[in-house]
Amino acid sequence: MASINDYRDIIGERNIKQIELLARMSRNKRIVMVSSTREGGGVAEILNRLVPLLNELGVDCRWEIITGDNGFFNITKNIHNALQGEKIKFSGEELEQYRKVNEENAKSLNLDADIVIIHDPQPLPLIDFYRRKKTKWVWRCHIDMARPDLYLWRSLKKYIVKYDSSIFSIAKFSKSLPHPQYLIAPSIDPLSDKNRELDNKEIDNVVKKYKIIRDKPIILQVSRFDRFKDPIGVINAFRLVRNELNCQLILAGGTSCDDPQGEEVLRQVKREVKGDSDIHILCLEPKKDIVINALQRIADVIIQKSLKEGFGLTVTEAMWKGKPVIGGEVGGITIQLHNHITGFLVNSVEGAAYRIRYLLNRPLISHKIGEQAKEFVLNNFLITRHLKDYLALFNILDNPGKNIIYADRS
Amino acid sequence: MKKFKFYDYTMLISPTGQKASNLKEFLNIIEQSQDKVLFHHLYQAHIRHDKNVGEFPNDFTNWVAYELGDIALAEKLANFDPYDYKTVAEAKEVLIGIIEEHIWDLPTIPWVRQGFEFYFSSSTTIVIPLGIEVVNLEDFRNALDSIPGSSLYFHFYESRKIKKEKEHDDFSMWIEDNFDRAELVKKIRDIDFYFFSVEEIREKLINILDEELKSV
Repeated sequence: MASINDYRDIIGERNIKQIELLARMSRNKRIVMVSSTREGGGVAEILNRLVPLLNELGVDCRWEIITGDNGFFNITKNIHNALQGEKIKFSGEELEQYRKVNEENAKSLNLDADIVIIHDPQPLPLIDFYRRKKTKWVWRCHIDMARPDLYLWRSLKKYIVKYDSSIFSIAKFSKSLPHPQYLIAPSIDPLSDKNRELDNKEIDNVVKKYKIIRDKPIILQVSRFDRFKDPIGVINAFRLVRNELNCQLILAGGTSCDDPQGEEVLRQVKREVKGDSDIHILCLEPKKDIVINALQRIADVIIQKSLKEGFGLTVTEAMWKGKPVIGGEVGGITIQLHNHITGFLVNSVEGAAYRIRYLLNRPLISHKIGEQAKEFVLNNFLITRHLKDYLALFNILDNPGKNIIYADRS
Repeated sequence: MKKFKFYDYTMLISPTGQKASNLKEFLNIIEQSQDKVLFHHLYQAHIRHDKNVGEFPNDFTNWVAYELGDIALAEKLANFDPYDYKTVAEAKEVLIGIIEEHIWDLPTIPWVRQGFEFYFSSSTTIVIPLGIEVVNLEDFRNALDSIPGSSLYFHFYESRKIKKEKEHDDFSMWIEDNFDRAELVKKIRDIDFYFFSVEEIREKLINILDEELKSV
């Protein structure tokens, strides 16, 4: 696994030194992160890198996982969807089960720390069962909370207000809350198997294994099979493009063990593409990161036509590979893609089709947008910036009410 | 001679949870906002990576122009320089006056479409030594080439608010205190800095210093 020094060539000596200084200011802190899965999904990917890097820098950081049965994760998946705006009715029993499973988890988790960071709604109620006076509790929300379902929001708000602060990915997701809120954008790891440079042999292996024929332009969407990722919309956009241009579509989806509804969406997608030889569905197991990396590198245009999106790390990954990206104008995608500069934002199937045609027909512009996108990620969305933000947060939590903190003013 | 120690900073933005969907709400929230919120949107816009930064010098003007589409008000706000006032509170009062007068003459209140509201925030900054120290003007000029934009912003913009003096950027203060170069100090202080981006300021400072060093 990469060490902090391995990032020196990417972000420069000065940034590494600043991270080390901020880390020195947090060396006496004990941090614990809590989430619902160690594998699959953006949160797990980020924590898999952040936690070891924090420890390497001398900050004591542990990562705890809550457990639950399929019933619990079905409820939390519905909570996730309702926070993203879907109208879902929750029975009293469901909300009680959600709370109860957290109560059970609180008995076995070790949450003794100076700062407890709870990721997303699954472990949110833990605060009711493990509150320690001196511990600062932070809720880190990765979800598109622009317009959550009101009834569910009211039910969850009673937990959220007990926290000392909240973190959202973009300002649009923030809410009226009685505690300080902070913005921290997610990030990708440029040295992970999903994002590192690949040699031609590694790419060829993937092409051969998945029987991809590179005889026509490739349009790619990488995402879990989830209604909010709109795979059917992508297929419809692709079919509009194919009326004009010879091309192929790859839908590559991973799975996540806290998302039991993915199978149903995958079945629906398979029904939709039956018999269409230009559309390839690749259902990938976890840890197929090199495959995703290679697919992104062979694609001509990458799409992320989400209808709701907390941030859209697949967009960031594609931008990092210098690819032109088209994304739904929702959530965190809007702070990554700026029309004609780092990609394109779209609001409809037709919009997606139009921008795919625009990019496929203009290879020079596509190339330039891809280059600008890569630079934008370098400056804003790498794991090292994320690390710096967390280290800043730990210091800010120690200095409540201060607008400016001097690390070393002599 | 006192050395110049360059600092950089890292910033965490804190949304207040308030948003404005129309010009009246926008004005009401500004009226109720703490100075730190005004400071963030009026002064710190120079440093953030925003697609529209550079076109107009602050967040409020960019929103009014691009999301609300009220170009007349954007023009009035674009010409408002908050550094002309010693405190954020004074700048806030003048800003409120401009918006109030504009609304007074409007037949209807302009709204934005859903998703394009103005989200109010403040920020906390941690100031970090950059590891660059200089004692002469040649090294100072060379450092200007390599320091990050955030460091340049801190010394040339934010330090004026910390000291509550429009003219007192860190660079000209250091030159004034350590060198007999009144003309150079004047040239730096004459820059109409609020209306330039950080990168434009870098270029201007380097040009001024190159000229000065050549003439010696």
